[in-house]
Amino acid sequence: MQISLEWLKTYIKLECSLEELVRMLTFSGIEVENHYSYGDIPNGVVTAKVIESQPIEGSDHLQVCSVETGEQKLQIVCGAPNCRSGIIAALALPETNLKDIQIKKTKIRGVESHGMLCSEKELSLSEDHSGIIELPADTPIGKSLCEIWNLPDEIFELEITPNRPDLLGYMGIATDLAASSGSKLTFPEVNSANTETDANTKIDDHLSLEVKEPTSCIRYVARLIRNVRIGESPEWLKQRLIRSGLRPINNVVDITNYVMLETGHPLHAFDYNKLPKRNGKAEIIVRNAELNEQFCALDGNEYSLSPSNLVIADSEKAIALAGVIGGTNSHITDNTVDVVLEAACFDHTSIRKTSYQHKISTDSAYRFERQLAPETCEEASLRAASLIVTLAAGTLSQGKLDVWNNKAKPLIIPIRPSRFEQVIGISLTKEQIQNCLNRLGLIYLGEGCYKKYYPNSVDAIPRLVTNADGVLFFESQKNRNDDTVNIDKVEEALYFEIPPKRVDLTREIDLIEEISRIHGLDKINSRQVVPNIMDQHAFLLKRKLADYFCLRGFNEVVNLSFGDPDHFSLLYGDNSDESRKQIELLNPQNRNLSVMRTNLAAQLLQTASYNINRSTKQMRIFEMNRVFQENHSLPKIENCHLTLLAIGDNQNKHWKTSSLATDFYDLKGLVTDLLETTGLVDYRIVDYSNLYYTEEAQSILCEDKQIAAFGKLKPSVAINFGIDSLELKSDVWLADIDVESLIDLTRDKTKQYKQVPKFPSSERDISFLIADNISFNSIQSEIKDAVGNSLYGLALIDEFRGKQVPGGMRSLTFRIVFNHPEKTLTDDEVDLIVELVKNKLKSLWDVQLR
Amino acid sequence: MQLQLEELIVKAKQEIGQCSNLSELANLKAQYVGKKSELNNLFGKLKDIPAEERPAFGQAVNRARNKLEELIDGRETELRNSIWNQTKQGLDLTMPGTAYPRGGLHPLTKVMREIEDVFIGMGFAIAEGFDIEDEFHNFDALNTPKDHPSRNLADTFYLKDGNLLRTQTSTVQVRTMEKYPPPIRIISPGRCYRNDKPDASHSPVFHQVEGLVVDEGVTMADMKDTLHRFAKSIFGNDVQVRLRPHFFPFTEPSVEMDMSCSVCGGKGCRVCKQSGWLELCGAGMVDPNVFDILKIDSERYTGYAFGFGIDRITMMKYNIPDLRILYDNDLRVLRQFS
Ligand SMILES: [Zn+2]
Repeated sequence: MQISLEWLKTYIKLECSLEELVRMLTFSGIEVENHYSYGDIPNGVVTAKVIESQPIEGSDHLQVCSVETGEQKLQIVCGAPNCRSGIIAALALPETNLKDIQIKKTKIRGVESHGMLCSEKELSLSEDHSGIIELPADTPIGKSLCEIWNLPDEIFELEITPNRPDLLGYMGIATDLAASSGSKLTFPEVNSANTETDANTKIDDHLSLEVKEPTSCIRYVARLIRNVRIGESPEWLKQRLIRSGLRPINNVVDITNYVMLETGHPLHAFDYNKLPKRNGKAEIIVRNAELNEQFCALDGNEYSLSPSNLVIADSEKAIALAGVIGGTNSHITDNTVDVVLEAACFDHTSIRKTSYQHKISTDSAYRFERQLAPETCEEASLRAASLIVTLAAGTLSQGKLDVWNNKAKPLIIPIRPSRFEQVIGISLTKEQIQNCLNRLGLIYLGEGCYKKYYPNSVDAIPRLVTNADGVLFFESQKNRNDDTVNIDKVEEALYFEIPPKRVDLTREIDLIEEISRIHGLDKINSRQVVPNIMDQHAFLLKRKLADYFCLRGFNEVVNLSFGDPDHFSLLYGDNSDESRKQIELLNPQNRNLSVMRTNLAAQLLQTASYNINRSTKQMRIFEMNRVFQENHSLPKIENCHLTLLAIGDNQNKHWKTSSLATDFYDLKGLVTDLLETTGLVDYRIVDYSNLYYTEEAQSILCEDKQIAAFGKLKPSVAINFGIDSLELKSDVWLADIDVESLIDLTRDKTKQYKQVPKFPSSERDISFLIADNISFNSIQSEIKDAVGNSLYGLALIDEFRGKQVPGGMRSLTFRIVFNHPEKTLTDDEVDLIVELVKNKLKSLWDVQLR
Repeated sequence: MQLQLEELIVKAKQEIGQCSNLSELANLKAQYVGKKSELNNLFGKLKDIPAEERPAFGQAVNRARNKLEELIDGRETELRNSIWNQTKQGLDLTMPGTAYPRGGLHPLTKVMREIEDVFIGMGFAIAEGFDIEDEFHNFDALNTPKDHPSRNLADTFYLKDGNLLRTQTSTVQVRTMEKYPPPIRIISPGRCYRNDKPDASHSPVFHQVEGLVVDEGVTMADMKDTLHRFAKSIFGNDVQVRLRPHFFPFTEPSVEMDMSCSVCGGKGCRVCKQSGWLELCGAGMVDPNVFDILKIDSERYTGYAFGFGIDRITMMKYNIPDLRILYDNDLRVLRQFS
């Protein structure tokens, strides 16, 4: 729903800032989808009167006008079809900056022009560019247009949730805002006494009303206004409609729309003289349509109706599709003299079905299908009638026709303060609860005892009374047999009468919702349900690591946390620095279980040896567990590590796939691929020397912290654990990952989406012979450098040494993927880059391109 | 004229029928219906024909063209099908599929994860502590008397500096209650240490999951349901549980919970020593003394704690007869769980 702040301010005193207003709307549950300034027109746009106008020779539409602004007379050239002498228009004076143009003194067709008469579009008020703005004849001239029109205004686009039909009008929104802000409300006063101006005419003599479908038509109020003068609405009314997103049509139709926007209740007006008369009386009949009854609607379409459609009819034909759309046979035209004003309440499901069936969506149907209150009919009807009397010079006949079947009693609902606290978690006093609900227009009926079945009248509220001895009673029970009530079981409740507009309030829990909203959701202090104990990231990463290695053929092993101090020297030699970190037990079971382990490798080697002795000679195993180091006080250093060991082929022999002996690159691939999956990218790989690794070892650093190491175990260390790599015909491979560091380094790092290239990529392979001592790393970085920003991918896809390759050399093949961020690279462009790369390699090293 | 077209079709039909591959067929297509085809030439001659014969001529050429296209398309379908339907000779579908490397978690880890997930599903958080603890967190805070035998060197591993290896993961509960106010709802899985000689059912290092719930209005009935649901998740929906009075220093009342024997279903067998019941876990309502030690209002809050051994549950679940099998890491065993 679109609303104008200026209009809203006529009902409620709003002295807050715009931001505060948006906040207030948002927190009372009205979502502000958008808001924008409307009509921020410069002061250089003033009202001016066109005194005379002459066509310019040689132009089919331009006129030269003399325009008066009060202070001065100006010559203006104007091309608008409606520009004529006598009208009051909006004049942009020279040096005024409009959205698209700066107004200057200029010559058009050789005729001087000292400004511009503006259309609504030129002032960014609407898309209307059919002519210049015409202001009412009594508009003072020489005033800024902003002043005349109360501009700039702020337009709000609000989303009203379907449960709140009471918010489908300005008054409803003002009421809700007043409830949350405590601001004062002023609503227009209407009463029939001073509106019924036509003392001689009684509506009963001219119109009859019959409601044949009381279920679908809950209430129907008709009034008769005679001798109206159809014309344009006054400017203020038109402005309000435009700013609320409606187009002005004529004064009577505009008034029905205006009152709909104001009260939220749609109205309709019929041309009384188009209705056939019987005995001088027209008839309004609310009935179901006949099968295939034809109906020409105001949207220009003809609809074939069915009996589930409710229509408003005269004695002969349907004149409106009830609550949805009016008909062309009875609508208000320039010739209308007498008006029947309808204010009705239709059943929401009936309206929804009809509007859905015929695919008609109107402001009226939109409101009715959200269920409106029949009580509002009368206030909307009177308000519209009084406006028609004032603004269209009509005379209101005496009386009204009003059919209201099954009039419901106002609903009475109890609210227990204790229940509020139980649901919301904060405690409010009875006064606070009363205050919140009173502000929403609920009427406080007093305290009582809570009853699950709500009373249907004030008298039926089970009151609590104290007798002379201070004992509490149910009033009704006291009347019956004087039974005292155990006060512990009686729950105090405040009883409220619900205003009819609030069709959404039917249960105690609805009141609890309203109180929490008006009191302020921000005043609820959150209560911790479960403290934030769990380290989700660490938990999930550990599982991910273990799963990763399982999926790559590793079996997890579990060893005791006790270590053998002798293993330590087997691994490290006699390194006293390392051994000092060991934590010794006071009462070990054995010497070989006498320290807390400082690494997982020693026991993995024992496990390997155990399995080799049982003829399992190919294995990939890992353990993920804590290792311990002395720290002199608690907590000791207890870090989680993952260590893996591989012996033999990297997979089982199989007829289809060839298995390969595990090698350095296997381990390197495993570890780097794992790091990639954790999202870690900014790491470096460096050569690693360690007491138990051979030279075939590297480590991975991230932020100067070693997070992993991998390589070939020294055969001399392996044999200490009973593993003879010569006999096995296999090396022993180890890798170790510092899980704790990896957890820290990957915390809060989520992979971010990168846009895929806009243009297609192309690929080239280049092969060359190069000396062994030149590293892949240095070659790769030179290629990257040479390709520059067209590089999308680079991979080493082949290494070859063999008969054709001279000794001390190897053949390498790189695959380069090219992609330029701004264009499709042509074959020639790609070839040129490849040439560049080749030349660079040749200039650096003795390479032989192949 | 008509004759000429018919001859063309007869000739084409023969050639198309003999055509044996797709590229040959493409040549024929160009030859018969392409831009430079005989048929297209005939169309070019249209203007030389008397006006009244032109429609009939045009129709005849079009019919011939349609016929030729039909023949070519039909042959193309035949050729494609014959290629697509070729079966590799000597294919033995009974040979095994490609072997992808497959490892697996240790059975203890599998059971541990299963238990963690059951409790996460019931809203528990996982809290981890340290293996090395002090006497306060392992004993004092858990209301263990100073002279309680469990504090002996014969039962508990001590470090040379006087600290000890936790004998239960209840230490995590203590640390959690020190750090966080109620409500608390945690399990703490982890390693524990007791000075037991390794045998078929003992290991100096073993695994436990302990749980702690502290809130207003927490009762033993809540505990019973939580533990029953846990048992059902691990051992199946038919599992029954019962509580037996027991003693733990930090709970009051203390109970042990048994579950109906997973082997015999409660009828009685060798595993359950004919009783029909297997001990599942120790549990109880947190002793108010424990709350007092940790400065938690023992009038306002109640809580329950429970603990069970993962090793035992793993043995029960997978029917493993000897605890030592779990720590031998024989790959012939571990690969059964891959
Ligand atoms: Zn049994």
